[in-house]
Amino acid sequence: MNVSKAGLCLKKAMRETWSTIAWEGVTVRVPAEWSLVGVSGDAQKGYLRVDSPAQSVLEMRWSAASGKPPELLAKGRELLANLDKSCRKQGTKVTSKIKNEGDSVTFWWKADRIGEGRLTYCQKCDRVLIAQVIYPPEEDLSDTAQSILRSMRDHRSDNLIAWALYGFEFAVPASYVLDRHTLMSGYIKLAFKNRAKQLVVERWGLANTIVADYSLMDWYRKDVLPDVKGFRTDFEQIDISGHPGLRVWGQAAGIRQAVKSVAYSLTLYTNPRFLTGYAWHCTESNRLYSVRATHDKGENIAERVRDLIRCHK
Amino acid sequence: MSRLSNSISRFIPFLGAKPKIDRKQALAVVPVRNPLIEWERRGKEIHLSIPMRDDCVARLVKRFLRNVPERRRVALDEVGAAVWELCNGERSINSIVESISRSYKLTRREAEASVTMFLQTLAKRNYIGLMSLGGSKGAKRK
Repeated sequence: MNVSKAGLCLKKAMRETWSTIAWEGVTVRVPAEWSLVGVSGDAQKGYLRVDSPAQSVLEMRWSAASGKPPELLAKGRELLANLDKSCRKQGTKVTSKIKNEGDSVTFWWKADRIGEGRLTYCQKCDRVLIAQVIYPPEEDLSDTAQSILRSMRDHRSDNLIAWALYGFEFAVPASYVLDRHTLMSGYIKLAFKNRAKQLVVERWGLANTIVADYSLMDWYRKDVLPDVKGFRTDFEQIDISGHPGLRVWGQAAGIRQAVKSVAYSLTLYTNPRFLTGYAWHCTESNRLYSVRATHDKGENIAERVRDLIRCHK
Repeated sequence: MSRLSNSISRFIPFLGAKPKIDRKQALAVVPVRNPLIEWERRGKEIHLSIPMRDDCVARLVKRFLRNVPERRRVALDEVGAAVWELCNGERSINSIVESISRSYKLTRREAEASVTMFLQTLAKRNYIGLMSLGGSKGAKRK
């Protein structure tokens, strides 16, 4: 096997055994068996934690830099000083190193565990990202930690905000902000808001069990439509990425929507009059996917998000 | 000391120290089905037939209420049935999680969360016992 082929194989293996985690556009690639265990905050300030099956942890923090480029080296030193202080209280000795690498600052520390981290600042997003991989000395994770830290990204090149968790990857336009989320085993729901417009992206696991006794349309009526209020809906069966799927469309109806429209007519924004949704059953991944959005006439937000979801590899 | 604590906590649970086990130890625990429970597969489901309590309280209740059934029936759904079948006293929770994750194409985390929660429910109702690596029933108390 020549070198270039070996490189290719390694890259391929990396792609297959690593997964992407993205929250509020902050993206990182981690070994596939590592999983997201906690998220908090919003696009301005937030925290994310990913645990390995053993005792290693990836922690990421991001915060808005309020316009001016921050002193990353000073921030890194502050972080290490705080760590030193807390370790000294516990009676543990800390050794640390910090290095300025131009566009980023990397650091390393060793106490009862080892930490490797990186600080970056993105001018476009005006956010400071701090990530560190913490692992016990008996697990030699230095190479993995470096790969994880190098894979850190703050934004996509297409101005969309990346979201990826538990293998569910998609992106939404920057104008849509996360309104609420549900992360349950076997069910993920992320609901976004753009003024009065809504975008809801959902994924169910164990699809074979869920739709065993129902048709896709019956399942949608039973599980998804109760959440859709104020729209008169209609369905058609279509193929989505080669999977059996549904297209749902609807128009605002009812007194509540009429009142909302009147209220919005007093503002600069409009109340969305249309609803478009898609749902499909991916047999390869044994999952059900649903995207639905309320929108103005001529907008195709549901289609754009649907096309960005990779339901199977 | 720990044996004393174990003995005390058997009778006065709130006095006993809470079991301190890490994730790795918890996943190595082997669930075992309660031999008093009869079960049969009906299509995708498994139906459990659980004997009713036979202590003084149960006997008192039986005296006042007529037609109290001898056994209670519980149906487990497809995934629950798969987990129940895997609780054969040979497989650890980790192995059950891996098997469920493979069969139902769930991520490791999803499978782990669902299976451990389900096993906790079964254990709480005494449908299964949890055997630690040492061989004694129940999670070891420190």
